[in-house]
Amino acid sequence: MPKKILIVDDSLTMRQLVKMTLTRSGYEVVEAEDGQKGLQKASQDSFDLVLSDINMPNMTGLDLLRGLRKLAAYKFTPVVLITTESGLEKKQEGKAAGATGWIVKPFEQEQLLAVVTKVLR
Amino acid sequence: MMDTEVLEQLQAAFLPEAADLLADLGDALLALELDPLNSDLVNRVFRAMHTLKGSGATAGFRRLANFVHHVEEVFNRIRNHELTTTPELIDAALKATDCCGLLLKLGSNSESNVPLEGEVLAAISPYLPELKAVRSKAVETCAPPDELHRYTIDFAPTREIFFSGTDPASLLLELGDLGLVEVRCDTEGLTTRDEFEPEQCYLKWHISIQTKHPEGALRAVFQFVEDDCGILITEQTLLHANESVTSLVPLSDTVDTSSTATGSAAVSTQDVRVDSAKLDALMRLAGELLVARGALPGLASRLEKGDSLEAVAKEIRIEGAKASRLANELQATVMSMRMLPARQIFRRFTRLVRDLGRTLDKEIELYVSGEETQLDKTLIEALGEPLMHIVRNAADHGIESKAERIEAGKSAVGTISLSASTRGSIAVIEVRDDGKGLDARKLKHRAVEKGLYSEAEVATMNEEAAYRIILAAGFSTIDQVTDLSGRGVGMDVVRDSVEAMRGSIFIESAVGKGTCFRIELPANLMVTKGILIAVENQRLVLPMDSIRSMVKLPMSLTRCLQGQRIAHVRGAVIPLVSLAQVLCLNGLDDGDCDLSVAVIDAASGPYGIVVDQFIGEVEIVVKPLSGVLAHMPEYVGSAIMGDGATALVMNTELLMKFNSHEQRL
Repeated sequence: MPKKILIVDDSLTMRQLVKMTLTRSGYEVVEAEDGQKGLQKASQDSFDLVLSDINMPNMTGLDLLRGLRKLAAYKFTPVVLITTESGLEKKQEGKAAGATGWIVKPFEQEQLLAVVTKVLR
Repeated sequence: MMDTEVLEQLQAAFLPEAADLLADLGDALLALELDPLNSDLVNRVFRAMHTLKGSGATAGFRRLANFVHHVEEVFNRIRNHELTTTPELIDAALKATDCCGLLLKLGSNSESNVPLEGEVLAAISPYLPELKAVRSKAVETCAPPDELHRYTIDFAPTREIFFSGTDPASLLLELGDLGLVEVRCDTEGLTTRDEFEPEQCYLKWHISIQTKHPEGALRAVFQFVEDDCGILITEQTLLHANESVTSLVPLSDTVDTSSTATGSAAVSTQDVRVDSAKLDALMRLAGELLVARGALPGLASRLEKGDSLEAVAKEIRIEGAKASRLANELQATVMSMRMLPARQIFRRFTRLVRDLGRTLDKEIELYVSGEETQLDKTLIEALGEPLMHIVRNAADHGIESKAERIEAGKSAVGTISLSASTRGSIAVIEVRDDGKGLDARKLKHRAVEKGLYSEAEVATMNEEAAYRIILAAGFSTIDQVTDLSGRGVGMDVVRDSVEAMRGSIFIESAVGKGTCFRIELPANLMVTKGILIAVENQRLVLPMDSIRSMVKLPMSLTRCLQGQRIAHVRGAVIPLVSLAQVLCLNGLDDGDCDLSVAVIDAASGPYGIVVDQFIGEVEIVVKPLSGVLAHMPEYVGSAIMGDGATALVMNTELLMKFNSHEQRL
C-alpha cells in the first residue's frame, strides 16, 4: 500500500510541486489549502505524514501541528514544516510544538524526496 | 543441497577453527614481514589459507572460500618463487584476515557489501593476471573505497522524542545506509516498572560506523533532532577502522538477527578449550565426591542403632574432611579451566604496534614477556580494551619521534614492553615504554588549567600523585589527545574498567626515560578470601587482597583535620572512612569506644575503613550483581556465606571516593 501524505499549503504552486514530486515517487498525496482544512482532513482520514506550510490563513501551520498532536492518531505521526529562510527562527517554536523536521523553501524536488524518505523510514 | 542440520553442525565446528586459523595466519604474516625469505613461514601462511578455504567451502562459506582462494593463490606463487614477499602483499594479506573475520561474522549467506573485500582484491590483482581478466564480481561491486572514515557517535535522544514523530530506530537504520555500523544500546536510563512511561524514550545508543562519507553526512542524519538530543560524533583514525573492522557488521544484520550476530561474534570467548587431562580429573573428583556422600547415610543409621556418639562423630569429621578436600580440588580444577594464557590478549598487540608505528612514522619494537601467565578468562576479556588504550597512548604520546630520540641520545627505535606475571593471588600486567616520560610539573600545570585541581591541591602532590592526574576524568579531552589515541575517551575509562575488576593502576615514570603502567588485579575474579564484617547489623565482606592490616584504634588516637578524620596507624597517617556513613546507615557516635579499622591498600593511597566488628575470615565466590545493584560501584558483587545468608562484597578501591568531607565519626 502506498504511503499517504497530506500537504497543507495555501499556495497552489507549492501544493502542485509537492503533489507531482511525491506522486511520481509512488506516494498518495491529499491536499488542503489551510490549517483548518488540513486538520479536518487529517481527522477524517489517516495519513502517514503531514507536510505543512507555516504561514497560512485561518489556521497557521503551528496551530495545525498542535491540533494534530492532540489527536490520538497523530500523536507520533511525522509532521514536516515548510519554512522560508527568514522563518527559520520558527524552527524552535515548531520543534516545541512537536514538528519532526522542516524543509526550507525554495527546495529542489530531490531535497523534498530526501526529507520524506527520511521521516517515513 | 546439504541437510540444514548437518550444515549447522559443520558451521558450529568451523567457526572456532576459523578463528584459530585467522589468529595463526596473522601471527605468521607478521613474522614473515620481519623475515620475508623464510619459506617455512610462507608455507605456514599458505597452509592456513588453504585450510580456511577448504573448510570454509565445506561449511557453506562460499564467499569466504572464494575470497581466500585469490589471496592463497598469491602465496602459492610466492611459494613457487614466481613472486617475492613485499610489505604491500603482507599488508593486503593482513587486511584479508580482517576481511575474513568480517565475512565469518556476517554468516554463510550474507551478501552484504564488505568494502574491505574489494580493497584487498584490488590490492592483489596486479599479482594475479587471471583475477584481472575475470574481474571478480566482488571487485566490481565493491570498488576500492575513496577513503574510509571511522566515527563513533553517542546518541542520547530526548525522552520526548516520540512526540516529535521521530523514531530513533529509523535514524539508526539511516546510518546503516552510510556504512558498516555497530550499535550498542545503553539501557542505563531505564526506570523502574512503576515509573515507566511507555511513550518516553529511556534509551541511548553508542554507534561505531565505518563509512566513505564525511562527518557532515552523519550529522545530516540527525539534522532534525540535533537541537534537543545529545549527539556527539567523534572521528577515529583509519587505523582503528582497519584494526577493529572485524567487529563491525552491517546494521541490517544486527537489527534483524541480533542474537545470531552476537552469538557468532562471541565465538572466541564463549568457548573454552579444555585440556582433556583436566576433564578426566574432573570426572574422577566427581566420582569420589559421590562415594564420599555415600558414607553419610551409613553413619546416620549407625547413630540410630545406638552406636557411641563419640565414635560416629569422629567418623563424621573424617568423612567431612575428605569431602572438603574433594570439594576444594574440584573447585581448583574447574577454576583452572577458566584460566587462559596472557598470550590471548598479547597477540593482538604485535599487529597494533606495527600499525601504530607506520601511522606515526615511528619505529617501535614490542617486547612481550610472561605470555604463558594464566589469567582468568573474565580478566582476559576485560583487559583487552584498557591495555589497547595504554599501548596506543605509549606509542602516540610516550615514544618520541625518530629525530627527537636521536637528539636525546637514544636509539631511534622506541620500545614498548608488555609483561604479565602473578604475585600471590594478584595478576600484574605492565606496559612499559622507553619514551619521554611524564613531566609532573606539566601535568600539574595542565590540571590546574583545566580546573581539575586547585593550585593548593597540586602543590601538595608528590610525583606519583601528579602522574595519576592523567587518570582523572576530563583530563584527556578532544583538544589534547591526538586522533590516534581516540578523542573523548580518556585514561579515566581505563582506570574505571580496571577498578571495576577490583584492580588498581600504578604509574612510574622518569622524564626522558619512559613510563610504566602497572595494572594489578585479583588473578582469579571468582574465588577470593575476604573478611566478614558487621556494620549496623549488616554483614558485608571486604576482599582480603586489599586489606593491609586490621587494627583496634582508641578514638583518642584519631583526630579531625579539615573535616577529615585521620589516624596514626603503625607510623603512617591515614584518612578514615566510616563504612556506616558511606552506606548511609546510621553511623553511630562511638564516643570513646575503640574503633575497628581495616587498613586498605588502594592505588590512590592507604586509608582505613571503620567497621563495627570483624567477624572472621571467609572464602567466597563473588557473583556479579544484577539489576539496580549492578550500577552501584561501591559493591563488586555478592557472595553466599556458609550459613546460606547473602553478603555484599565491597569495592575497597572506590570507597574512599564516596567518603564525603563533611563526615563525622
